[in-house]
Amino acid sequence: MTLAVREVVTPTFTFVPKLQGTDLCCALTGTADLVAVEPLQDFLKELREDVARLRPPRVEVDVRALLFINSSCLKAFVNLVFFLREAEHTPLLEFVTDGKLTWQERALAPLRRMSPSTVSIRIL
Amino acid sequence: MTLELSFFPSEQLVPAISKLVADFCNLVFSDPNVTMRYHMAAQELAENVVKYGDGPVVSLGVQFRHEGDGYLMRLQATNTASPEKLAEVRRHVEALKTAPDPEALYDDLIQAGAGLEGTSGLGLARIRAEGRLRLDYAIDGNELTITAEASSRGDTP
Repeated sequence: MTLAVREVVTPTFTFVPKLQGTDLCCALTGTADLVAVEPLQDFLKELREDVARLRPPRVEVDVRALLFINSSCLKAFVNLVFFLREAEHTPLLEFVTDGKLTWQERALAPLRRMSPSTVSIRIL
Repeated sequence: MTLELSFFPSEQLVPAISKLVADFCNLVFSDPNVTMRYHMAAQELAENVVKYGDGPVVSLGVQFRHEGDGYLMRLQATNTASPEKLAEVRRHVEALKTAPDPEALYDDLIQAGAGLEGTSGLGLARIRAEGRLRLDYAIDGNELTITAEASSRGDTP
């Protein structure tokens, strides 16, 4: 099994996908602001296509090294939750946050409230 | 302490403006999670004035002052806009100001826009719900000023 979704590496943010067993994982680092909106939308669209193709039971999004996320990038995740929830195959979408950076959990909590049965937040 | 920034409304400038506000907050708050509330609000406000301002200059101000044993932290974003845009912002901010449960309103806005492309329209609601900042606005002619603030009394710092 190989991923079609491509990693995105820029001076201010990175989105790096990988397969870990049967799970599809990705790590976000840096600053997800205006500059990152379109690359993130494209990345998450490709991720969704991999989810449909590979049908992983779980998708992990590790944001522990994310320094900031703006509302437009959050909206890209809102759409990911929406489309995965409506899809033929719906994996568990688990965000991993840094417990010392409490804003991360606070920023992502609306996604869990939006779809509590398919979205979880793991605080490390 | 006051920081006033007037700038050409360019998306390229937003990260630098937002970082200046974060650096300002780091001077007055020792907790990075408190700083982050204002950093987030500054970023959302700066993005708004750049996206919706129709004049050659927009501004973002930050004020921190002691009030008795506590403090007041205020962000102010100013831009000019069309009458239609001003009316839209007035309705939106009034709804956010008067919402008995800002988090529920934020969640409703998220649900309403889920699956749709285009701008998020979530920035101000996020400032109110996630940042727990009070929102207000003033309109003078075609000039719009949006204020987001919190004090150490009545709000979690």
